Amino acid sequence: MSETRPGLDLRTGYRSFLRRQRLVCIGFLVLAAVGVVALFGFSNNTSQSYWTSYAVLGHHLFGLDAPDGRFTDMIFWDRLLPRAINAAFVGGALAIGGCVMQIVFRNPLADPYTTGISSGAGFGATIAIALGVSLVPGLTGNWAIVVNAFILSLVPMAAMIAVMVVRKTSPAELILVGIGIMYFFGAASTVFMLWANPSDLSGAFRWGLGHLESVGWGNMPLVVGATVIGSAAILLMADKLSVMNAGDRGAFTMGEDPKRVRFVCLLMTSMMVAAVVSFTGTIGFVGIVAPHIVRLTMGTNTRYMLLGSFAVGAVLLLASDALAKVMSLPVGVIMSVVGGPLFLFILVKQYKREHMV
Amino acid sequence: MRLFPQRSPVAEGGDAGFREEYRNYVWRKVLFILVLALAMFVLLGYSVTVSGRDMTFWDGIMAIVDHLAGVTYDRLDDPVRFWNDYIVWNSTMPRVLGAVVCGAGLAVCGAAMQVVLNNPLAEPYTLGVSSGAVFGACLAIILGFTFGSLGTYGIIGNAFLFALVPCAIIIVLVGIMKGLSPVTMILAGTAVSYFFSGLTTLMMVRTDDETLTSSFRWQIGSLSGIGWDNLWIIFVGTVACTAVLMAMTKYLNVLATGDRSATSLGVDVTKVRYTILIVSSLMVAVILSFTGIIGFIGLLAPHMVRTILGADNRYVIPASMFLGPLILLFADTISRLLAEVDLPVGIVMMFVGSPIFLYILLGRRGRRMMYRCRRLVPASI
Repeated sequence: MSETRPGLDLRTGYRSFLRRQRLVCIGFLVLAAVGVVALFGFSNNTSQSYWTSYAVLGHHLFGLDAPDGRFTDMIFWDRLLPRAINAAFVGGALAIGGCVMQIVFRNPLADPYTTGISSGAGFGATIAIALGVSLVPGLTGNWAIVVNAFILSLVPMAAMIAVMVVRKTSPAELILVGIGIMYFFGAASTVFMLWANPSDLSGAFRWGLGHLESVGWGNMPLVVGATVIGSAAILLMADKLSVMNAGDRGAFTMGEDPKRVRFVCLLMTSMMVAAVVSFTGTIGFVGIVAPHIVRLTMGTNTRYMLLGSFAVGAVLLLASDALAKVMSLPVGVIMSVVGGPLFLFILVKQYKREHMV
Repeated sequence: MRLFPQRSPVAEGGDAGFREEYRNYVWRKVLFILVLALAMFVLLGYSVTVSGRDMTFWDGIMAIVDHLAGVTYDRLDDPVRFWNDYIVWNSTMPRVLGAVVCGAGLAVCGAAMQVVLNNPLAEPYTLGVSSGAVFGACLAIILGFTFGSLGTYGIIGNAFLFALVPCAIIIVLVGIMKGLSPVTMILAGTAVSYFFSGLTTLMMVRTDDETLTSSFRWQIGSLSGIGWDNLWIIFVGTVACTAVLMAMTKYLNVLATGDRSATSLGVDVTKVRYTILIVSSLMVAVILSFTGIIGFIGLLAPHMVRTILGADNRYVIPASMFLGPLILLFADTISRLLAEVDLPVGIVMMFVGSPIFLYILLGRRGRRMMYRCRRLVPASI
């Protein structure tokens, strides 16, 4: 994909190609940061104007005068700002996770939940909501949901890894093992939702859709910490991941053990995504669409693709969350309505590219 | 398990030996199908007698025999027999027959889809039929929008009409893009179903808890809605569509060799693919709109058959036609045995189906399957 026109030195061409990717990545990251500041006060459901958000920010960061209104500070500083920051990090984590999964499984349809995270988390949340069961004794309410979701979302991955250790498996087979377990958990969740009373069913259903209403400063350290550590670890492995693009045999000849790389990547990505998902529910499409957008616009240098996916995911989820606030819907719904056509568009575009070369 | 060793058909004994060998080959397959059919009827007989009532197997059978012979009981003189007859004939019979018809339809449809889309993981719902149906049903349940009368038939009519929309979209796409490859068709189906389920979620989120519950319940496959009044619709639809699919099995065999060689053998690939897709979508739409989503049968039954019979579609389709009902009857019987805990057949199928799915996958056949669909495994469902 590099533009090596005749007469242009190959090395210079490659450098400029990398530079362009780097610029685009930084651009998207800056856009995400600006987006947090610009969008968090947007559609705030109060009588306050959009500009109040800057007054609140000024008050907290620079000690300016506090804006008027009894709940203004609480709503802007304690609800909306952490929600926007969380949205950016959650979007980034899901997108980078999706990107890793697509590389590791060599499947353009893989998403961050490919290891069965969504079904496990859904089941954990459902039993917490519908039955009041907490896997870690003593927890109640929201924390029971979060801890259940986290623990159970890792069960399918554990099974997958067990299969991987016991026998030689192709990536496609692994995905199918994940799907098999997903069906099982899905069935279990459905049963408990069916038996629950309508309000619990509705609660579990809404949890599964993906939402950002319940995040605040309290869970920020966990979400942001998991995302930063996970993403950093993934970025450190970018070289190994880019070798994986050559297929298992190719990776072998280049001195990497594809099985081990796959194992480590699955583990890290799943932990990160599970940590995020247990707070927000399963927000779809960010993780599958963002890497495709990056691939279509920037090319496929793995390191910048990972970073770019993070940035694009953050921007996507921030924008959808802004839309979600306007329409007062869970962000997952916005994502699935917008994501479907977007996904179709991307597929058509890729199809055209593949068949016109 | 290798019931039918795949030996080279050219055995000793020249032409006569060859004929002999082929005759055996066919005979074994026919025998297998007959055994399946017999097993299905035995399970059917047992299943009819499982109901909420305290009644033995023979009581159930006698109730049917008597009813067919025209014997009637008085409600006051012989209440036990009267109610046996009533329950068996009016509630269990249509439901069990419905299980047979739906199971057969879904399994045959899955077998055809897997060949036509050239993907071992294809199933009747691959092209988005179910998402369309659920959207239609939710439109009726939540927004009260139907093309005709309200009530149950409004929901069913909506589900049926919208179930055909994804198929129509794909056919239009094929027309615009001058023949899509099966891969792109599946992707387009996935995208269409994403879109529909997005809209469905949108409706479900906005509604109140009770309506949400009923639309959630509608999606889960259940045979309890089938009665004499609607069984004939499903029956006619399924039989007609199955007949068409059966007539096309020889094309399916040619199609399985790949598009190019099928074309060179004189088969109009696009036409066959179109016809089969339309017919299967119609059949699934009819079934789906009465039962909701019953998964796994269309995926598993053909594979289980292929494990034993090999991939010859002239036998795979009829064998699936008997194995599908066998599985669905089994699941429905479990569902009725556990009637107190309210376990719709769709959920039983999920619990029964996922281990079988994993088993087939990790077995010897799984390997080959995997190789064929390595690029196109749907990542999440």
